[in-house]
Amino acid sequence: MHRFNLHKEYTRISKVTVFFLFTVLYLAMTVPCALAHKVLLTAYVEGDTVFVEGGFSDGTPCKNAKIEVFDPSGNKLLEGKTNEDGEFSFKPPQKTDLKLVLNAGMGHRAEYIVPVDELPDMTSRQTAKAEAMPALATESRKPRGASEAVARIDLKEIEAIVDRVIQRRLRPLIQLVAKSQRKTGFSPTEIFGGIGYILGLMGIAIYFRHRKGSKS
Amino acid sequence: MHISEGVLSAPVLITGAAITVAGCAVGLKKMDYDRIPQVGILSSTFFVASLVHVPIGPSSVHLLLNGVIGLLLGWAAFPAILVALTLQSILFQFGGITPLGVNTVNVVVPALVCFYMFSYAIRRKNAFISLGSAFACGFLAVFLTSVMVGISLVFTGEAFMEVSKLVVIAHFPVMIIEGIMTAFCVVFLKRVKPEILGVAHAPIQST
Repeated sequence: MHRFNLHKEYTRISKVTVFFLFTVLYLAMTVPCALAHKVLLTAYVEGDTVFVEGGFSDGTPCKNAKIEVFDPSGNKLLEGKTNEDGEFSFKPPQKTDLKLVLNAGMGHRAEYIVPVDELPDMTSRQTAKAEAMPALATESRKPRGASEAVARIDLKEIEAIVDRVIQRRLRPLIQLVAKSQRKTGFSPTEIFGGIGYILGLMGIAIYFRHRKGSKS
Repeated sequence: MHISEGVLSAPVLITGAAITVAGCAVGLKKMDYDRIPQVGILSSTFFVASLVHVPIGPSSVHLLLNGVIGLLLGWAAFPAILVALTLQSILFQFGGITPLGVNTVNVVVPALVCFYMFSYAIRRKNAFISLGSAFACGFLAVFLTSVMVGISLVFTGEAFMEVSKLVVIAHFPVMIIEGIMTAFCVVFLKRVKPEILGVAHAPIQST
């Protein structure tokens, strides 16, 4: 009799709680903004500027969040705030790996590292310009070396132009990648997988308790 | 409510982890055989609830349901929430592994406080008292969690009042929603399954 009652109680408990679980699950799947609480930070280099975008994984931007830039040894180089669209841009003050840290407040934080080889070659670009200028100036005076100078200027200029054009063309693509990186969150697979894990743990707990109970 | 990796300092992390371990030990010890399914289901509920975003208000917040979970589970909320938070941090990258202890404490301690404060009042027959305290339970649990987040962040240099105010304001809609949800849950459970609220020993058929 007692055993029967216990069993009955069981099924009723489960029915109520399962109902509760499915209500929440339904909400999670149907509410359009039902997306995660994860802060993401992406950055890309364009020209001599680093563009940074911060947002929550549901696509809402991180407005007015603090962004700090560190060098590899942990010294703060500069800091700033994101604008209304969660964007921030800065000119890298030195050519090292840059660690960007976004602090969205309330314990939300994200990091992104801009590797050194993505940064523009600031020094070489400036010297290239400096070299090109005298070359241009001497061109008229020294007709013999003209073809060589022209070739050199052209090469550098072509390189710069190609660089610029490619960056401009790639910009939408880079932004798309950055956006899709931010969108990665979870899928039904993960949701149901997680529930499965919990139910599995529950089964293990029941198994151990049961063994302990049957022993005594 | 998920504090990210690398925000908190080591002493805070260790304190949080220690409290969580102790709480889980108590919770597992107090968990009866026939309550394991309930703990599991409510753990999955918490796991999923964090995906329900509340689009009202200035910031991005989600449901917590720690009021209901505390009310139904008592100390067993510790293992339930720890499991759910662990899976959230692994599968969804919410929060992180190191702040797991602190995040668990921030959610479960308010749940326990509400459990002790309201479980007696909720069991009362008077519908008004029962409903009112159920609402207060859901509301206060989220409120206290917000305050606890503020406290954990104080040690990182953020000013307490400033952060707490921000967190509390951001979660105000959630508090209201959870208050109402808790009230509904209590009404529903009282009608369908009063034993679950701990009124088991009172004869229900007396009406």
